Amino acid sequence: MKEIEVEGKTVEEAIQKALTELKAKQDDVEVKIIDEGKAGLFGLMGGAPARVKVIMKETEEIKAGGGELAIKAREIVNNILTKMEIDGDTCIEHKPEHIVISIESLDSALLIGKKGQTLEALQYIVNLMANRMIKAGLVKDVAIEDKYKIVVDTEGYRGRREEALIKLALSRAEKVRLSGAKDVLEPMSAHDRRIVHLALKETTGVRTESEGEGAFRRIVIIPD
Amino acid sequence: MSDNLKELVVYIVQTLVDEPGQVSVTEVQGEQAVILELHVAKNDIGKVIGKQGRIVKAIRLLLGAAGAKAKKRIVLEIIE
Repeated sequence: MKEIEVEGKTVEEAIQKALTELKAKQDDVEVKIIDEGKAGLFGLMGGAPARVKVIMKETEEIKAGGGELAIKAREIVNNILTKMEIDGDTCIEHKPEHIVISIESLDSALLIGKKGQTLEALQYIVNLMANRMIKAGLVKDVAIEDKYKIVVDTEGYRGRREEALIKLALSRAEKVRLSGAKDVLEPMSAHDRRIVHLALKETTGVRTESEGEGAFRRIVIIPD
Repeated sequence: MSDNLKELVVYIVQTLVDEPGQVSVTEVQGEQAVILELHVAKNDIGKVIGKQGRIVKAIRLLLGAAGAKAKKRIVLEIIE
């Protein structure tokens, strides 16, 4: 089990530091406060730092959601990176619906590619390979009939992309609402379209639809 | 570099096909590009190409990224 001790000006700050270091969420950890710390005079003198111990919980998902699969997936990503001659560190993050293999690398821009297409390709290949290994019985603790999704991310790209998409969606929707004319967005992947649909679900005055086929499928924002 | 890229293609493809023993990659040096010729069993060709070429496209993207770092263009061809 992973645990670390961290100091900070306040207890909250120390916990935040620890979470960043462990790449974990508050829910994934148990926090023990060793010292609450003291604020010094004007925050300068005589203060004592707060100390906390943060322990990673062994969550249910880790046990049920294919711990061995996550290790296998990480191994696949590492093997591919080595053969691509890209230096990178990988780590596993467990989410309720999927496993995230996160890559830290100086070449992350190269790994992401134009509009994230290289990262998509890597993720696609990793999922294909992992599924073949499950079928071949090479991964033991997962059932063949279950579908597991492995997400490959680098330097927080997927989160940033999602934020950018939501921003774009909201600003284009605002224009549609003001002008009353429908707006056609550029073609996007199913995953990206889903983000836009969800982002505008609650927005009043507009609704969204998808049109076009295959790689040309795109979202239209329509005044309501 | 190209030895590693050959291994990359073999590694991915061997996992995806039914007859991994029949997978091999040979390298042809072109003027501008490195051409990798992938040989697989006839029945496995579809498994390497994928629906609408999705699998081979993904492999080519990975090769492209690795090639970009080494400033080389990599071409992957599937040979029957």
